[in-house]
This record gives sequence, C-alpha cells and structure tokens, in this order.
Amino acid sequence: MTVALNTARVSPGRNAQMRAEALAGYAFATPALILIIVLLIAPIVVVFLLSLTDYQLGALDWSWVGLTNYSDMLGDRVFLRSLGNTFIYVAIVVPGSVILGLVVAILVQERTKSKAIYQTIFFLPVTTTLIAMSVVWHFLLNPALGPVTSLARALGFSDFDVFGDPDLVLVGLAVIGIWQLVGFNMILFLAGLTAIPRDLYDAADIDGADGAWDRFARVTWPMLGPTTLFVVVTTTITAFRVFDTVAVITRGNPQGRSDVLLYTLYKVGFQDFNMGPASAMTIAFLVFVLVVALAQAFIIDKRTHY
Amino acid sequence: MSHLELTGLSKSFGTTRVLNDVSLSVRDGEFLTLVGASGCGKSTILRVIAGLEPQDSGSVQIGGRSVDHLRPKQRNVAMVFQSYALYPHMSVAENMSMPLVMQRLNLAERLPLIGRLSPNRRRVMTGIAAEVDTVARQLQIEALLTRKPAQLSGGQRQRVALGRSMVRHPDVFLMDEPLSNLDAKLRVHMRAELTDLHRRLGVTFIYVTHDQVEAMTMSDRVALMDEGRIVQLGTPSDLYHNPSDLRVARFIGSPQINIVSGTTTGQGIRVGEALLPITVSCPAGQVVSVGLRPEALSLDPVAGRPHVAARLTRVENLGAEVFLHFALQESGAPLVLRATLQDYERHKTRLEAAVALGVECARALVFDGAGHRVDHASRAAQRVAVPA
Repeated sequence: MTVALNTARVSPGRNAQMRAEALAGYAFATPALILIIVLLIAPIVVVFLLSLTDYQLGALDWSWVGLTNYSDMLGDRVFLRSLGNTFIYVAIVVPGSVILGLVVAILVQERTKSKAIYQTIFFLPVTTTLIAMSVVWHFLLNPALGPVTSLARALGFSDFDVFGDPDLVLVGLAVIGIWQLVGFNMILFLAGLTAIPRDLYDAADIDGADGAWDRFARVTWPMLGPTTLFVVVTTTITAFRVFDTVAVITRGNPQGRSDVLLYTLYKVGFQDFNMGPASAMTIAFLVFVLVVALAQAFIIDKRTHY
Repeated sequence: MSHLELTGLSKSFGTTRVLNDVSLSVRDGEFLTLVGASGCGKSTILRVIAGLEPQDSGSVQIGGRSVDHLRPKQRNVAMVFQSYALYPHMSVAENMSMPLVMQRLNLAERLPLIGRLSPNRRRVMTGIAAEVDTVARQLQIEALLTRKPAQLSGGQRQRVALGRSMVRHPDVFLMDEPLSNLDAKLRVHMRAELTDLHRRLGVTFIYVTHDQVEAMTMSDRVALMDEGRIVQLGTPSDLYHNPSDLRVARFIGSPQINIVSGTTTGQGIRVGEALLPITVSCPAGQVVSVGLRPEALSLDPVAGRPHVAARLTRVENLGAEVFLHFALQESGAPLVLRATLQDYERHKTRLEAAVALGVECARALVFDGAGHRVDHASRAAQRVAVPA
C-alpha cells in the first residue's frame, strides 16, 4: 500500500523531469540536426528535384519532365560506357590498393628504425594534389619524352602509349589511383596491425603456427577483418569518384575508353549545361555509393567483428 | 620423463638485465611456482623456456635434452597466457584443435578450400575432434564447443585456454599468471581446480604469479625472484618459516611480517627499551632487522618472557580471527598481531591503554644489514618443530 502510494506521489514529478530532460536533449541536438539538413539532406533533395526537370544552367524557364531524364540516361550509350569504365577502374584500384596497402603495412611494421621514414615515403602521394601529380604522371608516361617509356624502350620493349592506347588507358589511370591510395590504406592497416595482441602470435608460435603464412592466415588476416572491411569500403567510394586524372590527362579519350561517371556528369552538366540529366546521373552515383555503405553496415560488418 | 633444467640463464633487454644467471632444476611432475613483484623476470623465464624469447646465455634442458636450438612448437611445451590469448575468430573447438591441426596436417591440407580435397584431412580431423571432445569433457566445457571466445565468461575462457594446452599432451605446462584476470571468488575456485588438474595429469607445471597466496597454496616448491635472480627456492612452508632473505620474509605471508629494527648487544637484541634474549653470531652494536610473524606475538605476556610495549591502532575482524594493528610505544613502528576472536574479546578492555605484547623469540627471524638471515640459537631448536 505504502509502495503504491509512494509511486503515485513520485511519478508526476518524475514524468515532468523526464520531459524536461528529453526537451533539453532535443535542444542540444537541434544545431547539428539543422546543419545536417541544410548541408546534406537539402542539397540531395534539390538535386533529385532538378533531375525531374529540363533545367539548363542559366536558363530562365524550365518545366517538369518526370522521369524522362532517367529513361534517357539508361538508354544513353555515353552514360552506360562511362558507368562500365568506372566499374572496371574500381575493380582494378580496389584490390590493387588494398592488397598493396596491406603488404606495405606488414613490411613497414617489421622495420624498427626505418619505420617512420618508410611510412612518410608511402604516405607522401596522399598529401599531394592529384591534379598536379596527374601532370607529372602524364609526363612520366609520355610516349616521346617520358622516362618510363624511355626505360622500357632501353630494356627492349616495343613503344607504348599508355594514355593513347584504348586497352591500356584505364589500367594507366588505375595505376595512378593505386599509387595515390596505397599510402592511406597502409596507415589504416598499420593501425589495425598495432591493435593485434602480441599474445596471439606467441600462442600461435607455441601451437605450431609459426611460419610466415600460418601466422598471417591464422592470426593477422582474421584479426584485420574489421580494418580490411573499412579500407575496402572507403577505397571503393574513393575509386568510384575518379575524376581529376581523367579531366587532366585523357579527357575521356581515346574513343571514350576513359570516360568515367563523374567526368561524363561534369561534361553534361557544366559543358553542355544540361542540369536535368546531370542531376539524374548524380542520383545514380549516390545510389551506388549508398549501396556500398549499406553493404558494409548490414552484411559484412556482422561477419568480421568477433 | 620431463625433468626440466635451467643452467645459468641470462637475458638483457637493451641495457636492462632481466635475468641474471638463473639456474633451476624442476623435477618431473612437480608444481613449481615462480613468484615475485612485477618486473622481477619471472615471465621472462617462462618465455625463455617456451622458446618465445631467446636467452643471451645459459641453457634449457627438457627431459635431459637441450632445447635451445628448437622452436617453440618443437619443445612440446604448452603455455596458458594471462590474457588467455584465444583466437577470437575461432570457435572453442577450433581454438582447442589448433595445436593438433598444426601438428598433423601439412600446409596443403590446411588451406581453406583446397585442403578439403585431401582424403587424409577428413580422417585426421575426425580424430582431432574426438580428442578435443575428451579434453572438453574433462574440463566440463563440452557444451561450449561451438561458441566464440567473446561469448564466454572469464572462467570459461580460462578453461578453453587450459584445454588448448592439454590436447597436445605437453611435457611441461607453462602458466603465466593465468588467474589474475578472474574475480576473487573464481580465482579461489580455479586454484583448487588447477591443483586438481596437476594431480590428475601428473605433468610438470611451471606457474608464474605475483600473488604469494597462489604460490603458497598450489605449489610443491616456490622460487621467489627479485631483480632477475632467484632469491630463495623451497617448499611454501620453508619460505614462510625459514626465509633466507628479508625480501622473502616480506613477500611471503599475509598480513605481512612485522619488521622492527634492533641493535645487537652481548645479551641479545635491544628493540627500543625491550631486550629480546636472542643471541646471534653478529658482533655487538650492529643494527639488525627482527622479523616477527603476526602469530609470533601474543596478547598474554607470560611473566619472565620478553615483551614490547605497544598501543592498539586498528582492528581487522575476519570472523574467526582478528588482526590487531599496533604501534610500538617508542618508535611508532607498526606491528600486526594475529589473535583468535576469543582472545581479542578477553583482552578488549585492557587494549584501550598501551599494553605489553609477548614476543616468542624462538620464532623471531633476524636479518643483518644486507638483509641476509642470521641464525640464532633459540631458533635452531624451533626449526625442528616446524612441520615440513
């Protein structure tokens, strides 16, 4: 009886307090919420609305065209080609930069005195401006003047022009992409490697898993699961956004073999001023990025955390 | 036979000397504990025996053969780590199978997909599963075999780690503070289980701990270490009743031994105003430390027996017995006395003022200025009476 009375007496006060606390909580969250809406949600909504119009940059009048931009996009050979090229580019860059990043991280971690030097060297490309570096790479691989091609020639290889050869151009761009990403991935993997308890390697030694392969397969690789997942996702998204090298070096040539999604989008939107179709492509781009991020969150995440 | 012999082990990390000419002989089937404060080198000895850390000099022999040139897996030792070091991505069964899988399958058969093509693999894996099952039953973890380590409690993880070391039937078990991550209650329980396991397996155990209670309660013999050396090696009772060094006396025993400083005279040792009739071989006028276990003091000073004057400062009641904390009247030095509850109740009123505490001189331990034990006549007679 007393208990019941007590709760009855206490609860209104407690309810009021809880309401006040909830209110305070929302008040604290509001500034961040406003920023998210203004900076992230609103632009996406605007882009989506634009994709339903025939708006031309600078034009005064425009009209709703429904999903025409999307149906045109799906029938557009240039768009489909650039989408395919982007996928090929991603398919080379992701495995290349993840595996190389891991290998470099493992090698660098075993150094004691020279570790810092190697880390800095491999990280340098991350800090450079890709636009400027594109110019350098363009020169390095120039068929007439480039030192790389000269070296190949001196070694007896036949002449090649990476950025002029339809079969090589994506590979060439991917190599630059890998070169730029390896350092960043290395840093992430190094962080992951440092977090592996030493005891596990000791236990593996005693259990007989003491060869380089066994240590890697039984301890290092499984323990790096969460790191690897994160690296794959960030690398995929970065690779998907390839633009700088294409814009500076190839402009989509030769024969559109290096047209990639963002470059095509840029041409349609800012050279032809067709904002409607460009917005539709942006939405398509966002969907792909979203799919990758969701795949991380829901499917693979569960299988790599122990 | 897995008799273990360490001869002249030394090891330095950089300029720090971690092991300093350590020699130790462990009998087959013995439970030997290395005990000491952190940084005394006890874990390093274990890692040297396991082959995880190469020694700078000295040698390790297991079963009469030198293992110095062998890799950890070839030494046939098993190790249980303080952190348990279970592979978090593997189930309990996989964790426990690991040493056997590595022993019995070749590199090709261990590969994830290709390995399955080998007809031998299936046969070996069935055999391993049966053995893991047997060990799991012994440790009562057969219901946990499909779980991952993250889903287990501390005590269960501890058992899995034990199981992983048991499946391979090692010559020597090395245990590096295996109980220190458990809560107090479970630790007491696992202490009993480990000694029981040792008895059943009959294999040599080398156990490292910083907890003197574990060392005292579990071991056949204890080696107390300090600064990379073994200070004293003996049975738990030896270390308690007959420490060779002040460091041993201080480390072993809870509550800690009382140390009061005194001066040697012709008639005995003078502590403050009291004269303890202990005749030592030292010349007169030397400062010595007198060690008195809490049970060497009593509340009833027998007439004619030596006593010291002290004042009660604190009472710790443990139920059946009581630890009474005193301060020596002259110097204020702390003294702990172990009394039964009845004794304490009987003297309670008297304890409000300064009292005389009886000192059982036969049980006093005397140490010289360097901390070495100095024998005395009354003590020698006592030693015979100490149960081994």
